[in-house]
Amino acid sequence: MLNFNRCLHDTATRYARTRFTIPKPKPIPSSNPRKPTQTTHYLKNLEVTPPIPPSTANKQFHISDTHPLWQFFHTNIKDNKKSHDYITPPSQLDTQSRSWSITELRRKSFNDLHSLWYACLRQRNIFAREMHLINTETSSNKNNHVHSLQQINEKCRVTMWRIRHVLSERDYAFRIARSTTTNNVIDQLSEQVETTEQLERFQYAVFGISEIISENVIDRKFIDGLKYITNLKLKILAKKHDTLNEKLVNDLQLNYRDNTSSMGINDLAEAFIVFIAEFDLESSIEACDAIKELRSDPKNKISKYDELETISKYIKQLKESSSSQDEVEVTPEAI
Amino acid sequence: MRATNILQFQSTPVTNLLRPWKKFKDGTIFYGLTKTGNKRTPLTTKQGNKTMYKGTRSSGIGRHTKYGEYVINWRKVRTFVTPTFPNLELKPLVSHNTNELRHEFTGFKKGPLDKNLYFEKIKEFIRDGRVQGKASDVSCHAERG
Amino acid sequence: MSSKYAYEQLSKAGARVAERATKVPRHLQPRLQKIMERGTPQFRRGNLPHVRDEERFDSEKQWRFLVGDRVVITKGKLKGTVTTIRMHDRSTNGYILGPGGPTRKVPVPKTLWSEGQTTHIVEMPQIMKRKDLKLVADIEDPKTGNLKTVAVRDLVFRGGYYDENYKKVMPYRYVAGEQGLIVPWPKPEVVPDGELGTTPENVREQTFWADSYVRNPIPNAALLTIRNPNSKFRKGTLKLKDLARLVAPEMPLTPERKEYLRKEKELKAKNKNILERPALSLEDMQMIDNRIKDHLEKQSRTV
Repeated sequence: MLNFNRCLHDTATRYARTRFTIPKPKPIPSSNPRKPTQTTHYLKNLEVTPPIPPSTANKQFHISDTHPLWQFFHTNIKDNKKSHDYITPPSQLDTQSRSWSITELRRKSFNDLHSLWYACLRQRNIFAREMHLINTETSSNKNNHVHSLQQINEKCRVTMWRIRHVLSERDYAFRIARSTTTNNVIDQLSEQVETTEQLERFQYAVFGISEIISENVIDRKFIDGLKYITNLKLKILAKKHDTLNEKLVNDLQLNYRDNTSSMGINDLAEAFIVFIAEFDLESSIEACDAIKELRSDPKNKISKYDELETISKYIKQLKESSSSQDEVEVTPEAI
Repeated sequence: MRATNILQFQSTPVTNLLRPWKKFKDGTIFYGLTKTGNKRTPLTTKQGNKTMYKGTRSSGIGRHTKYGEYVINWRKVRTFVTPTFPNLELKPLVSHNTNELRHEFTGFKKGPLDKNLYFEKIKEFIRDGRVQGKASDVSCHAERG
Repeated sequence: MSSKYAYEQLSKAGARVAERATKVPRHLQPRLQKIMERGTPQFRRGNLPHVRDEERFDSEKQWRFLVGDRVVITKGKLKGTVTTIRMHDRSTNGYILGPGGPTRKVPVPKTLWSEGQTTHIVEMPQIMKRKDLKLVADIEDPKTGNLKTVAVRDLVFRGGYYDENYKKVMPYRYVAGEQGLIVPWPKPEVVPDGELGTTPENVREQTFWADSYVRNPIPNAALLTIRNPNSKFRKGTLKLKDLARLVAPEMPLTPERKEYLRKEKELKAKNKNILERPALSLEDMQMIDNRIKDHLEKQSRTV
């Protein structure tokens, strides 16, 4: 280093680096350089591969006819031979068909509407591509072709908003109906029940209890529904069969023929026995016997606060027994 | 400024066809309305009114890191949930040979949202189950909604 | 008009703005149309002027004659010719007639020649107006009982019925002035289902039943894609919570005011008996009565 402590007034300018002086030597590369802070995937795995010759006749570009992407091209069927068009020929455009009406869509399930939505979406994708390609062309018929594509495209779009409208309407109708469900409505609906299938539909409609056990959510509503259905079952059977009615009146002090008394089965264990029994005379008589046995021991009574826990236990056992395919009868006594 | 000076070529059909007009790259004549003005510049965000939006509403699905990478937040990425068992019989449009169907809501004040209508439907469902309605017959053209 | 970019067709967002931008004021529309016509070569334009979108014919009542109807031409060189209607021209509210109808000669550039064409001049069908056509119908002669062909001067539309051929409700087409004389609509050509059209059986198959008061027919996850719960266009109802936010709370009273109100109340309680209006007793009434009587007597005496 130069010592500038004591020097002439022009020393600094004399020693200053100018473009005429010899350039400063490059610094020696560090033995331990800092790694770059920014890296990209190019740095990591960039490999040079032999070039691919650009040719459509090349065998590596062979595409099978069943390739799913063919769904995005117009399919032309001529003499039982399938071929795909790059652009749909104007003569083959379907200008006659109309969009789905709201009334027709109201009759379709969610899955159907869902499928239809994606059918429309795919079709509109095809149209968008074709319109884009036609616009780059310079054919005399270009405007007419694009215009007719636009019209069909608009029809598909109308179908799509109608699907959303119908689903929204369905949801509102359901919500309004749900908020107005009263005991009166439930009682009126219960008058429709006569057969086992009707009972199944009733319990699904009013309490949401499905026949498939795993679909159900165990909560307070489920227990209320279970008790209601138990009483409904016994009520219908008791009105039909005198033997069962006598048995109910004598053994269990339950009179379903008397409309004035609102007494019914209120204990969960008893309700569950009837609930899982078949909807016919023999099974219900068996269930009556089981209930009588249950009532002999006052310990079997389930308090209101333990109901949720108990029912989950029952359902779990039911699931296990149904999964192991064993015809093991699950009764509260076994638990 | 004169609107256009194409009028002088309008005298006869022949001269009409021989207008020395602009041509496409391949030589075909371009029948436009005007010959002047460049309207091919792309629209920018400064044009249009206050509701104009330029973009595809598709960005912003993640964040940039300080190393210049982009981390995608999969919760923000658009996902398409397709039906597991799609009904392939349904096509985007309806054949013109289909009768138009009308829904009637006589006696139900609120139309399709009426609670009494919903009650009736549930009642029918409990009684009959999933049976095909009246309009499943192709010739039917009016049905209760 | 076709748009330059395909993606403009994907969504209707901003369509309102675009429409406003391209809209021509009504007083300039005829002029624009004139310019447009001048700029369009002859083979590209029809012989009738275009009509505005809102004036376009839409229903059967407006068209009066549908495709397949027999009509007679009442104007021009071919007056009296009976032909059928081949097509509707929606852009001009006109009719293109079948064989025997009027034509016009148009020059076509060589680039647009169709196959087998040898000259520049091509015959194209002339578009006819509704008022230049009259419907031709076969009706029974009441005298002889034979069928005779007549041109109907005017038509009247009344009522409606479900037409199996057109698959929709159509009005009855009556001959004006003749009670109960109906000219039936022509039978349209039967065209097989299009490739994008669902077959009627699949359209009408019912797959949805309202089945529960408890379980929503639509999966919860799908609801957000069906409608926007935060839409600014959704009208809400005011709930108690919202009302509480909107109404300002009452200002608390100052200690001075409270003191004043308390004193006022005390004073009122104290002077309750004093302030009460005394009731008029029977004796008082008697007294007043006597006084008035005396006064009146005194007066009469002086007079």
